[in-house]
Amino acid sequence: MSLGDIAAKPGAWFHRAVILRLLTLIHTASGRALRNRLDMDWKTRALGDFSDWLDGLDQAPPEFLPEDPAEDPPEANTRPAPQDTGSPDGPDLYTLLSEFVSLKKQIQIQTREQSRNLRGLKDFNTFAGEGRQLLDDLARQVSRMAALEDKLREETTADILQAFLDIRDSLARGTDARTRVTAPFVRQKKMHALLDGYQIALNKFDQALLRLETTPIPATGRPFDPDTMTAVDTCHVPDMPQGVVTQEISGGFERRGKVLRHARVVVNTPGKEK
Amino acid sequence: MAQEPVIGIDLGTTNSEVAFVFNDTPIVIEDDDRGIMPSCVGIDRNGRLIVGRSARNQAAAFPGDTVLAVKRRMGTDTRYTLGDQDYSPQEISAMILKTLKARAEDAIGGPVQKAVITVPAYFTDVQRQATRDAGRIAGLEVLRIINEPTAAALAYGEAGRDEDRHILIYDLGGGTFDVSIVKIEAGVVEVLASTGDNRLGGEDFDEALVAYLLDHIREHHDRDLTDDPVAAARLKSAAEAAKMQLSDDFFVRIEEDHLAPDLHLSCEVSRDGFEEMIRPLIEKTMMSVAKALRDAGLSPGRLDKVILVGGSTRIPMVSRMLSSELNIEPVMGIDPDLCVVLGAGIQAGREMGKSIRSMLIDITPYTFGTSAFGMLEGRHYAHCFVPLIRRNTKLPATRTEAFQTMVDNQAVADINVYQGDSPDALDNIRIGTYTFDLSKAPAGSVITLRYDLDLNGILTLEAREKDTGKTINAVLENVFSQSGTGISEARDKVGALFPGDNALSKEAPLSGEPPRPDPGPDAVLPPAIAGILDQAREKLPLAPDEDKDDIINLMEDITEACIQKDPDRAGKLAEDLEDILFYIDE
Repeated sequence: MSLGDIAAKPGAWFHRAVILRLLTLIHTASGRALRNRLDMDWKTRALGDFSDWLDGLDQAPPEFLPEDPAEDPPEANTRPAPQDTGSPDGPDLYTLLSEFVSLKKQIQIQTREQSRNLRGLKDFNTFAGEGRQLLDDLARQVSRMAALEDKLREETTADILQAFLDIRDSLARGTDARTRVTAPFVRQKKMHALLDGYQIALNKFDQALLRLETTPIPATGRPFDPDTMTAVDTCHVPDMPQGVVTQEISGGFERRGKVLRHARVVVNTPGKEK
Repeated sequence: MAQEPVIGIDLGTTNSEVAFVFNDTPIVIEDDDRGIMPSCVGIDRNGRLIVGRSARNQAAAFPGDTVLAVKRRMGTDTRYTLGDQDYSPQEISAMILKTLKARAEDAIGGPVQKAVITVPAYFTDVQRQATRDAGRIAGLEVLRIINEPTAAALAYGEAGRDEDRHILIYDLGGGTFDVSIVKIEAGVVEVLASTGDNRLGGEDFDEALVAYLLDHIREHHDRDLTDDPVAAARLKSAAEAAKMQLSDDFFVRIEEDHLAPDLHLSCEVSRDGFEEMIRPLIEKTMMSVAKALRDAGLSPGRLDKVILVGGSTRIPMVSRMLSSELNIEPVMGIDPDLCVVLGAGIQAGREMGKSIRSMLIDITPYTFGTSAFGMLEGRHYAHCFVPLIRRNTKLPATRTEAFQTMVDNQAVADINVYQGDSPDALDNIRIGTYTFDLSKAPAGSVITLRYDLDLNGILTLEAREKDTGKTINAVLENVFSQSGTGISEARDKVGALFPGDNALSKEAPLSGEPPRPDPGPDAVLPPAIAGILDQAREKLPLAPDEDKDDIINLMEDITEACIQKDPDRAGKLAEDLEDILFYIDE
């Protein structure tokens, strides 16, 4: 007997309940979500479920149920479902199916919206995660750039200072040279002024270096220090201790605990008298 | 478990370096010294062991407490006394290696126990074993000893090429010269020949320049400062700085005040003059190159590449003479001081199983120069090509050349900028022409022409009258793409000779708007639908078989609806597709 045959029976409310139950089961089982989750014996499960439902009913059949379903008139097969008006006490099957279709549509719409929302949420989470990653990366890059900037600034300052240190060497040598000028020469007042000017220029230079945290490395008369000085030659000065710097060829400088330029010096060693 | 680090070490005669592969790139580890540490060991006045720069600093004052160039004694029975102890060359080398190891550990942030060390190709088995022993004493397991020329070839990515290659490595350092020829076959490097002079290097060039300056002082000041060690030390520093500057500039003025009481030095040196001073030394290296070729049984034409290693190869005369002798332009894209250690670092990275990113080499692919009156094929010619920045030169690059006016009161000088390698400038591509209005001066007045070429292909030129300081400047952009123009012009020229042949024009339309490429179906999809299609493509492999066909059909229908500009249908189909996709597990 087909579903249409059952539905065609007038006043068959019980049959409608059976059909509704069956439709629900079929719809549920055939839903794509469940269909993808259920194994292939869904029909067996549906029948089992239906059987459980039947077991839950009273043993005595309802009064309106014909005693022998086999006595149903055969012409019922020819009756179209829409002509079934049903029991006057309950909704007709057509309305029920229409509502069911409408419900299904609504569920689909809700499902789609839910799907979109979920996807949107997922995208947002991904975006937020990427954003956090980007922010972390950015923080690291900023930190790295800051370190690089410091390093570059230090290197640039050191490079520039190196060039000026050579000029300072020249000034220092010029100032030093005045001590070797012969007496008649220094008696001239103008020459005194010139040489004093040399010294003032040198002092100003050193003050400028100090402002840049650059300080000279004391060398002459100090023990030779290979970490801050470079020996370019040796000499022997009997009244000075061995290993002591006797002459500075070019000055050494330190900046922020680092050697900016090694002092180039002559060191007192035994045996090589100058 | 993290891969155990392996470092690459160039244990040199004068300097040593260490490299490690960070993020698939070999990096030379620095310690305020460009990564270059003197191969020098000593004991200071307080009995403290000092290695590197500090030891080098005291060498002149305390030679008995300092060991230099220990590499020359590797594998011998030499003993060195430092303080109250005797040391073998291996033990001294181990002190250098230990210092480099500590430097690497600081940079890597963990212990290092394995290394690759380079040695000269001519090292005997005994010397190689001594190097291995030095590593072991330093607490390093030496995974590999590789030849220095092999390391250089590795740095230039030569070992990774499929075809067989013959490469000449010309290594001119501070105190040693080596030339090697290697054959690379299927990634295996074989040293075919190696020769050189372990007492020839950049210091000899400094001394030649110091000798010239001392002569100049004798001649112009009537003073001999040969025995004045302070003056000699200052002259040596000045000469070293001038030598480096002459690699870029044509003229350098050396000025030293108070060199002696009442004596100030001011002396101009030209590159030509300097090159004449060192010519015998460079020619000596060329004889070694010829010998290496003979030993390898190769003609210069069989060489595929010439690699320059060592700081002294920055002297332009070296490249020029090699180019002339071998008829191949040498390459110096990688810092020649660090080329070998970078190769060692690459090998160390391979030992760790790392994929090494090839070294980024910024070199000019073309030669840039100018034209001048000169001799070409034995006759006077007005358009002789004078290269300034040669092909394969590392960028940024600066080169200066000097030229002279031809006649008295010459009014103008045409400055042509050419790109190419032909000795006839007219066969090269002219990329710029400038007219320099000259001051009135006798014939032979010097004009210097300076080219600065940067990584972006911007060529800046400056022409200067040496006597008056008058200059003109110009900037040429995109000089690396000029060759494309040249090829295009040449194609037009050839095409003009074959009027019936339109095959060339097929390559690119010469006029009119070029046809627009087919944008493809995705180009007409609204973003929302495109997103659903993307999602469908992602989920399709996960879909049950019975859904796959539906999905594919819907995707096709949606695309078709979009192409047919039917947004309603496309939207509806997209909703159907979306329903199916919802139920597919990710």
